[in-house]
Amino acid sequence: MRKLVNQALAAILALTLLSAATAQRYATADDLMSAVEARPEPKTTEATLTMTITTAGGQTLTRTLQMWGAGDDKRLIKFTAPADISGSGFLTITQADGSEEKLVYLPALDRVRRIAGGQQGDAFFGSDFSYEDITGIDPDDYTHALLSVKDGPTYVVEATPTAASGSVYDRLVIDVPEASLVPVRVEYYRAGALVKVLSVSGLTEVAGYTIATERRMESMVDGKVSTFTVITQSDVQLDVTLPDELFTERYLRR
Amino acid sequence: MRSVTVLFTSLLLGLAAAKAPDMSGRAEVTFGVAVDGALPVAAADLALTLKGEVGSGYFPDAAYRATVVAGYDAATGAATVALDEAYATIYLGKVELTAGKMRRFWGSTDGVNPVDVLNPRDLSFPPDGEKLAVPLVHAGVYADDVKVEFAVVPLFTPAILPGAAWRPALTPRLPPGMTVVGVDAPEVNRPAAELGNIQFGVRGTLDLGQFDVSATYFHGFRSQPTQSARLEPTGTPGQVRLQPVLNYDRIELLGLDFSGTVGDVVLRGEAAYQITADPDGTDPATGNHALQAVLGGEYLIPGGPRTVVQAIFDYTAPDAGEAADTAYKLMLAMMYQPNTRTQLDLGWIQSLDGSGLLMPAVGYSFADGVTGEAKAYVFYGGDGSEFGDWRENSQLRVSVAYAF
Repeated sequence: MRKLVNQALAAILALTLLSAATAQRYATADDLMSAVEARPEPKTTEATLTMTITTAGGQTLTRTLQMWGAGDDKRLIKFTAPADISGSGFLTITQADGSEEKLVYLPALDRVRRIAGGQQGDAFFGSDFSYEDITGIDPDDYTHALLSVKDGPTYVVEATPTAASGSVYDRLVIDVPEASLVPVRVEYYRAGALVKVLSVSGLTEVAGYTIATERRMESMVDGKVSTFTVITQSDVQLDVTLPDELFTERYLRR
Repeated sequence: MRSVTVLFTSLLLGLAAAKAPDMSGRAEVTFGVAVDGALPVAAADLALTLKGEVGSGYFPDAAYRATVVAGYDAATGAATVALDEAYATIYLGKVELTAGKMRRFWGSTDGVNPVDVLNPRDLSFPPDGEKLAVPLVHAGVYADDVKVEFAVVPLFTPAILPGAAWRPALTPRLPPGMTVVGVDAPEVNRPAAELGNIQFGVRGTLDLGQFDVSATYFHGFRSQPTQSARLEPTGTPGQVRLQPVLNYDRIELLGLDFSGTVGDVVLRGEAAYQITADPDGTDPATGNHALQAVLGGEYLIPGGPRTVVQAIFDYTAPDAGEAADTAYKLMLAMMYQPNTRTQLDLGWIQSLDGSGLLMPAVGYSFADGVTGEAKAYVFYGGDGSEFGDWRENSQLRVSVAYAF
């Protein structure tokens, strides 16, 4: 009898420990998003991006890009395919005062052109991603509320943009697994309707950082997917030394 | 010329370290129909480009590029095979030295660039006015926020002049009782290939973050001729023949341009003053001083097109005893991509004399590298106005291109 009691107690203890192990570590959405923000980020990034845009008719257009980034302040993108846009480039530098300098290079004209600050909601090179989507989610631009906790645990957080954020969305619903602290699914709502769904996959460890190698953005119309874009990252190099000359007009046109 | 020799010798020595060159190309067919039913263009063109680098790293030791173009226009019967661009660049720290046949862009504004004088233009279809590659040596020195460029154009290359349908009629002033009984072939006074006719320019750019400012000086020639006419006696009293004269004026050009961001608007401005050898306007065969200035802004309409608005001012100093020529124009350009495949563009130039040019265009990506475009050129205005005389040249052009 005592043995049975001991076995039962052991089972309860085990269940309790297991429960403790799967219990949520973050009590509030703000705690969670602070942890997301505190995740280590590489100082520099170099990667090859393949952007496949699928139209409503199922046809696809593929663009290949080379991307270099230094923190959140400098980013250079150069198209390498298809041939009709190969060599075109885009340089963004965030100045100390928060303003952005944006330069685009058009090889056919041999011209570097300063362009107007893109509206956040504009499509990123004709894809289903907008510039706001590509930039990522800065927790400081949102207020957060914890909606639920799913198995895993995975937190479901509602993010409401602040007025100052300039976001084109009303709210976002974000799934964040506790294990990776990488948002793996984001629902974007505008005027109360679901307009986009982002799915992040291919989480992998590179140089000690957790990065997503694939992002799929679906544009929704009446609750159904109309078009979607998949961006895959390859040849990712993090914390490599990138010369300052890389983020200049000179390199943009090279 | 020695610098060119050194450049190419360096390249040859470095070929052992060269990466395999990239070959790319573009095939395009263009078909056009004018309002009078004429077919101004029915052309097929092919361009093949070879490019590569010598050395490695973000800035290799050198890079090279060459493009050959071949084309046939069934509408005009013209067939061409030509070397378009062919140049090499060596990277020497903060200095880049490029020599060969190439295009170089100077300026800040859109469409109309008074300081962009290194390359002449192909004006056989004036609304497009594509730049012609010319032999030149270009050096760029890149400091932190300053860029200085030097360009030497050893040989003068004139612009390709518009065809007869685009040229204004010669209207010389005739003494009373005089009649023109014929027009001779134009006398073309083109700068000879000699040391004294070498053209050169220098341009400095200061990058201030949200603003950049450039100053340009150019010593050379106008690529479009000043047209005048002499009256040649025929031996018959009261009758003369007309001798057109095309002079390519020597100029000194002083230019200033800038671009900068103010909020969500990009401001751009550009102005150039050309000084000729006829400051008093007394020589009819030589053009007068001239100023062209452009000022405008670009704004991305939320959810709508990227929009550029520019004001263009032209001034030509007067001939002796006459009033100066001035012209004002407004330019609007709108670019919008409603979906992944479709590109909608609108170009509009409106002169204050009431005439103008409207250029709507639709582009479509059929597949990766396969694009098509339909573009209309609509000229309007009264007789004698800036664009009105080209009304009959209004046309629609359709093209399909494959880049590989």
